[in-house]
Order: sequence, then C-alpha cells, then structure tokens
Amino acid sequence: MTDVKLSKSSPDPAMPTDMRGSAIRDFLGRLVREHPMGAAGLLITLALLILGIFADLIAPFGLNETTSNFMSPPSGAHLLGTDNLGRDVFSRIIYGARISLVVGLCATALATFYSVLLGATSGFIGGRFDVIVQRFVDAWMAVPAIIMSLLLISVFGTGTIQTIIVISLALGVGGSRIVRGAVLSIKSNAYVEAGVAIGCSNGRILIRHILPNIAATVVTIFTLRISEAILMEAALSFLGLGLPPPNPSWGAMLSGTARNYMFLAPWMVLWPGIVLMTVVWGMNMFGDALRDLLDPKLRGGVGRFGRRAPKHTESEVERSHAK
Amino acid sequence: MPSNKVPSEDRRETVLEVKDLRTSFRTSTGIIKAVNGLSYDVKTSECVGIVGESGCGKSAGAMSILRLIPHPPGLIEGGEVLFFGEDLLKVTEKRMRNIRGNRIAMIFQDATTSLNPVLTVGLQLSESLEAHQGFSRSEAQQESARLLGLVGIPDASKRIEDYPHQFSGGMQQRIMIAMALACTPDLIIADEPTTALDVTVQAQVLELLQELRAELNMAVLIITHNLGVVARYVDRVNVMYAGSVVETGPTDQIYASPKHPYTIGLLASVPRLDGPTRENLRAIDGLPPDLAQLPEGCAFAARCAYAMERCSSEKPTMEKVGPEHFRACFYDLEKLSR
Amino acid sequence: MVSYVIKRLLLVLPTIFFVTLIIFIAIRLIPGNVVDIMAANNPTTRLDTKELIEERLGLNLPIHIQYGHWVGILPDDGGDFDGLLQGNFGRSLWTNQPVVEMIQTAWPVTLQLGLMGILIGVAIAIPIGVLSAIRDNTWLDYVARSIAILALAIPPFWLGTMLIVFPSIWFGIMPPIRYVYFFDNPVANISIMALPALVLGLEMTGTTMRLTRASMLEVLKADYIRTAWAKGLRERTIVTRHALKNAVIPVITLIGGWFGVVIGGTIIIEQVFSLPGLGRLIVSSALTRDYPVISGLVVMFGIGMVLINLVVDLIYTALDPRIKPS
Repeated sequence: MTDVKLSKSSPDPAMPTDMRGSAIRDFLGRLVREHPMGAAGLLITLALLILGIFADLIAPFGLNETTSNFMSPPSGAHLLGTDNLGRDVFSRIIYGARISLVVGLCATALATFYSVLLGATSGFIGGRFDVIVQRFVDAWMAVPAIIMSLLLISVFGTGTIQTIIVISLALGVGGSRIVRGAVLSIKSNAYVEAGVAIGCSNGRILIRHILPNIAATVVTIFTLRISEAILMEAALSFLGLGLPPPNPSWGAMLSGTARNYMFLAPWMVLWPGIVLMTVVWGMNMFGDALRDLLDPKLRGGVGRFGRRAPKHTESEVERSHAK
Repeated sequence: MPSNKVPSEDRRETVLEVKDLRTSFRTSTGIIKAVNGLSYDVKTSECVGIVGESGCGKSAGAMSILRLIPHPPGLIEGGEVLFFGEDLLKVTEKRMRNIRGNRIAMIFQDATTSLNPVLTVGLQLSESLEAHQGFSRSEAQQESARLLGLVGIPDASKRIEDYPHQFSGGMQQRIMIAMALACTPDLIIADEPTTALDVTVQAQVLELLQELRAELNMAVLIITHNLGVVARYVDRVNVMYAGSVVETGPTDQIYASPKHPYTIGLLASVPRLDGPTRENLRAIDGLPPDLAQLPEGCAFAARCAYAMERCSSEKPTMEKVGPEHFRACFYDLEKLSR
Repeated sequence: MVSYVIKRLLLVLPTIFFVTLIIFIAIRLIPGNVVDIMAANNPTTRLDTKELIEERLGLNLPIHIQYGHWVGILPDDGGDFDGLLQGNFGRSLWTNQPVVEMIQTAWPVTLQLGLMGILIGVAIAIPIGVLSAIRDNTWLDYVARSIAILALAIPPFWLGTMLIVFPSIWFGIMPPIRYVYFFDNPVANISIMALPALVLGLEMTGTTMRLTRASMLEVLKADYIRTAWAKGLRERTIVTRHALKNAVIPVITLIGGWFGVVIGGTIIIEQVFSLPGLGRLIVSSALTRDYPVISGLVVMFGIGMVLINLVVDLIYTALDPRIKPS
C-alpha cells in the first residue's frame, strides 16, 4: 500500500510580533540591498530635510546678509564664494533648501489632493460624469505644465503663495489619471462587488475599500511630483515669475542680475544648479526604489485587506490501488 | 555517477545521441536541475517521443540540444549531444548557428507568439533560406511559396505577403512547420506541437508531420505530455521523470507492457473509452519533486507504490527488459503484475 | 481609412473645446479688470476712455457671448465672424500688434530649435536604449541608465547657463549677440542653435532612452525572438530585423511627449540663450500680463498638442499590422 506523500512545503514564515517596527526595518534592508542608489536617494532627501529645517543653525551667514566681500571666489570664509551683493553663496543655498522644501511639499501636497479628489470621484462615479471630466483632463494635460503655469501666473501674479498654488494646479490634474486608473481596477475587484451586494453605501465602499488600496499609488505620485514641483519652482523663479527676491530660490540664483555677473563669478550660478540637480536625482532614485518595493508588497498582502494565499492547494487525491 | 546510457542495437545511422545531459538553472530558491542525466537517441527517419509531466525537464532538454539555454540563469553543466557524432556542446557558436534552422530545426508550442507579428510570413520563411543556403531574395520567395503549399496552405503564392495574425492557429502551426522544413534539416524537434491547438487541428498537424517525415526522410523528436499523440505517431518512446529517462522502448511495447512504476501510473491515469464510466480518475499520488532538492536515490521513490528501502538511497540504472526496451528500476520484474 | 481619420478628429473636438474653455475662464478669473491694469500702467488714462476700452474689448457683454466672439462662432456687431476660427488671435494690449503677426516672426525659431532638439535627442537616446537592452545588466547598461537618469535631473536652465559661462571663461568664446536666421546665414545660424538644441535634446533623452530600453527588453523576451535564434540567424539580424521593428512601436507614442518637452523646454532655453522664439514671447507676455498674446499662444500650443497626439495615434495604428482601423 502506498501512503500519500507530499513533497515538502517550505514552512510559513512566523508572523512578526512587532509588525510595524519590523516592516520598516525590513523595508530599509531591502532598499539598501536591492536599490543601493535608491538608498543614496533617501539619504539625499533626508539631508535636504535637515538642511531645510535647521537652516538657521547650519548656515554660517544670513540669507540676505551682505558682507564686504563682493564676488569673491570660494575660500575658507565663504565655502562657495559670494555674490555681487556680498552675500554668502553657501548660506543662500542652504536657505534655498528650505524654500524648495516648503514650496515643493506644499505644492505637491495640494496637487496630490487634487489628483485624488478628481481621480477618485471620476473613477468611482463613472458614467457621463467620468467621460466629461476626462475630456477636461485631456485638455488640461494637452498644455505643457510650464505653459499652464505661465498662464496661471499671468492671472494670479507672482509671489510665494501664488507660486505654490500655480504649481499645484499645473501638476495636480495630471496625477488624477493615475489615481483614476487605480480606482477603476479596484472597483472591479470582487470584494467591492461583494460590498455593494450586501448593501454598503457608496461612501462606505469608497472609504473602507478603495482609499486604503490606492494608498500605495498615492504615495508613488507624491514622490514623483515632489521633484517635479521643485524643478518647476526653480524654473519659474529663473524666469522671474516665481518667488520674488530676495528669496534664495536655487532657480532665482541663476537669473536676473546674476546673469550680468556670472562670467566674472561663475560660482554664483554653478553651485545652486549642482545642488538642485543632486536633490532632484536623489528624490527620483528614491521614488523609483519606493515604487519598486511597494508594488510587490501590496500584492503580497501587507495591510488590512491583504490575505496570504496558502502555499499548496491540496486537491483530493484518490488513493491508487496497487495490483 | 552511473549513466543511464541506452546501448543502441540498430544499424541505421544515429542522427542524434544525447548522453548524460545535465542542465541547471540558478534561481532565488536554489539551483534547479532541470535536466539531470538525460540520455536517448534518434535514428534516421525515426520518430521518437519524449513524454513526461510538466516540469520534468523535457523542453529544457530540447533547448539544450540547440544550446539555446539563456545564460545568466541557465547553464549546460555536462554530458554530450552527438549530432552525427559531432558533440554540439563543444563546437563554436558559429558552427552552432550553422546547424540551427539548417540541420536541426525546432517547432515551438505556441505558434501564435512564436511568429513575428510585424514581418510577413514570406519573409520569415525566406530568412533561413537566405541565411543558410545562399538563396537570393527572389529565389527564396519562390521557395517560400512552395513550402507553404507543401504544408497545405491554400493560395500560397498570395499568402506569403500576409502577416501571421491573418492565419488561424492551425495554419500558424503549419507555417512553423514550413519554416522548420525550409532547409530540409536532418532532425526536427517539435516541442509540444499540438498543445495549443484544437483537437481536430491537432490530428491534422500530426498527420502532416508524419507525411513530411516519410517524404523527406527526416528524423523527428516529439516532446509532449500527451500520451495519445505519442501512441499514434511515434516509433519509440522515452518516458522522462525529474530530468532523466526512466523507461524507453518501442511504442507498442511501452503501451502494452510498461515496466516502470511511473509509466504504469501514467498509463493508468488515462481514462479509457472502454472502461467503466463511473470509475474515479486515477492519479499518481503525490507531486513532482522539487528539482532544486532532488532526493538521493530514485527520484520517483517518494510516490512509488513499489518503493523499497534500496530505492531511497541508490539510483537505478538502465537495464534491458525486452527487445530495445529498457527501464531504470529496482523492483522485481515478475512481481509487476502487468 | 479616411473615415477612421475623420472619426478620430471628431472625437478630439470636445478636448479642443475644453482647451479653449480653460484658457478663456483662466483669463476671466483675473482679479480686477484688464483695463484697470492697463490704466495702472498708464496713469493718464481718463475714466471715459476706460469705458470705451472696455466696450472695445467687449468686456461688458455676457460671458458666453464673449466666449463666442473670441472663438469666432458668434458674430460681432458688424455681423462678421472674427475670432480664433477665423485666425484672429487678438492684438497685443501694449503694442496693438496682431498676435498672429507676432507668432509669425517667432515660430520659425522655435520650430528649428524643436526639430534640431528632437533629432539630437532621438539620435542619442534610441541607439543607447537599444544597446542598453541588448547588453542588459552589463557595465554598458548601467552607464547608459545612469546617464539617462542624470539627464532627467539636470535642470535645463542651469545646463544652458553653464554651457554659456564656462566656454567663455575657459576659451573666451562669447555668446552671439544677435540672432541670425537660417536662410540668411546657415553656418552662423547653426552655430547659434547648436548648444540650445543640444540642451533641449538632452531633456528628451532621459525618458526616451528608458522607454526604448524597456520596450526592447520586452521584445527580446518574446517567443518569436526565440524562434529567430532557433533558426540560426545572427544576433545583428535578430536585433535589427526582428526586434527593432517591434520595439519601436511603443516609442512612437513618445513623439507626442517630445513635442510637449519641446514646447515647454523652449521657454527656458530661449530665455537662457536669448533666442527670439515663441518661448520668449510667452514669457514676456506673462511678465507684462499681455492677455491676448498669452491666451492666443496657449490656445495654439494646447490645440497643437491635441492634434499632434492624434497624428501620433494614427501613425501608431498604421505601423502595427495587427491593429486594424475599425
């Protein structure tokens, strides 16, 4: 007689007692191992955060503090030189981090909010409403973001708040597409149909089922948009249409009067750009890595709605008879 | 390591002789020994079948013959693949290129995805002719039309301008056969040629292969998990399990009196038209082994109804059980009641 | 086929409508009055002149009528249709020059910049993308991908500035002072346009290279590539004849994106290099709040993009034999 022997199944991993702590450590570990450049990006982003928050403590000079050293090249006293008004370039760059951070975060938060609002409602409600809204989104996206910004700036005028609002509007509508896509795919999932079948109200379905599942998508959009927002603010300030002087926006440091002196004091325009480039690169890398790591995780079932499928489906095995 | 070499007794020429082929794949879960001491041979004009469940290494074995194993994960670890005596595992890539499509041709399972959607059928046919046999473009075109006609596609000369998606599944498979025949190879390897087709079409395609084989005196190696296919069209069968052959012999012998417990189980699991209708389907207990963690002795021991102590520690070698019929098993022949 | 094209054109009309609507509403959202702004800049304006100007600009009419006039679907007092559809994009608030004329002098510059930029971008991105995919996971691949990622992060206004400043400091090459049109003096023109086009091209390299690489990798995994190998063809043939044609198809969809990059990038680049193109025009009109000019330009760009995307879609359909216009 034979006995039913199954091939060995690998043991199920023990459920961690401290879910959240180990999840973060797990995530960081994977980040460093699988996406080293993403880890570098994370460090850069953190550096930006620290510089921005603690600018007052880190910068040796004030952001508008003039000294008598006009246009002096990088030296011991002034690590990156001074500009035409005698201001320390290094300090201004550090304060610039704060600006990029503030404008970037605010604009992106707003933009993401619009994206979710527009995308989720459009996707969820569907029908005629969806069609019309999508045409509107098409039209909006047909105009390149920076041109849309210019149009809006000519309407709202320049200034810090205006810049934030303009950037958020220009970037926000585009993201709604992605959110809508995510909502649509979740809407067709069985558990949503089940919710509808047992009579859940639309609001309940939206909040309990759909929103938590698009969380990963939203985080992805957010990280992508931040570097875009920072670049856009820099571009607008460069054109003179963004933050007014004397704000040391990295973009602004390359424009206006600086252009008259840049041949004589190239460090004025060199360093802001390098820092901007590094920050954007770092954030992009980290965003890429984040996306990579979050996606499969979501499928694996981290979160309230995830379920782990059993490793083997044990079918009914008929005992074979030996002659 | 004892080899499972099957000594050949025939006087016809041996087109292909695979000896103790070993191919593995490195994955995140371990090194998978897809082909683990595979040995068989194919003679001129023969149609040989390799039968086994999914995952037993049949396709990997076939791809190894043409050295089409993708390298970062895969590696042909050892053994010999003798094509008319020449060891293909040791020749240069240039020589290999010369052989592929020219002397040994391969037909794949899913013709729909195996044909390039943006190139005309005619071009895909003439490619090999131009590359291997020095045809000019116009000569190749003519020959392509002829080949299409040969495999039974009507209106061939017009059809060579069409794209693959304009043909049905069965016709696409015929096109693949035509592509394989283009340079009149000595051996055609058909990897699951009928799996993606409707039952009626399956028969047509196999008949076609059969006719062409007779006409052109080609050897054919059919790889399949479909026992029915094997029964009708194949001269000799190699039953494969976990990367190597466990039983081999002429088709009628294998079907009439299988001598390896696995073969017995396989054949028993095929429902019979003349059997009682209310009987449950019989399956072989257990699941195929994890190819990354193959056991020490016989790979089938864990599921074998006849397993003895010896089976888990020693690997059986091929021994003769009939004219040209061999098996690798320790269990006493007489005790096997069938 | 023609009926398919017409059908697609019709489908695109609502989008175009929304484009004009968005721009129209945006302008009308201006806090305060256009005329107030004009007056603020021109203190000698008298009150009654203000009303005359308002009337002339049609600001006292109901909003939907204003919209109709502007687009050119409603006739004005004289019974003529005179709006966007008739080619009337208005006049500059300050110089009174017809917007269409301003566009006419500026667009050749931008067109040339755009074309050169696309050419350079594609010439760099596609071969590198293909190579990167064929030699997947080798050092060549990593270097190429790093370059692409860097290209995405480099701010074009900074790169342009660097390319002006450092050659001047190191080699004493000063940037040209006046723009020279192509047909006047091709050599001088190319020397002026080369650097700007390079910077513009770089902006496109990032996304294009990544998509080419991804698309090529997908194609190389396909069964029909395995068939090609089994037929004993050489690698070169497999890549160029079998893989490339399939891989390029998704990249075509990027063309629309390229134009977007060109239109957006041109704004910055023309500022940096002082080129008298549409980009500079739109920036100056934003700075001076010259509404007719900026709205005219944005409408033009918006509708242009919609049409370009439509054309790209049609090309895509034509290229892939599997897709039949239905």
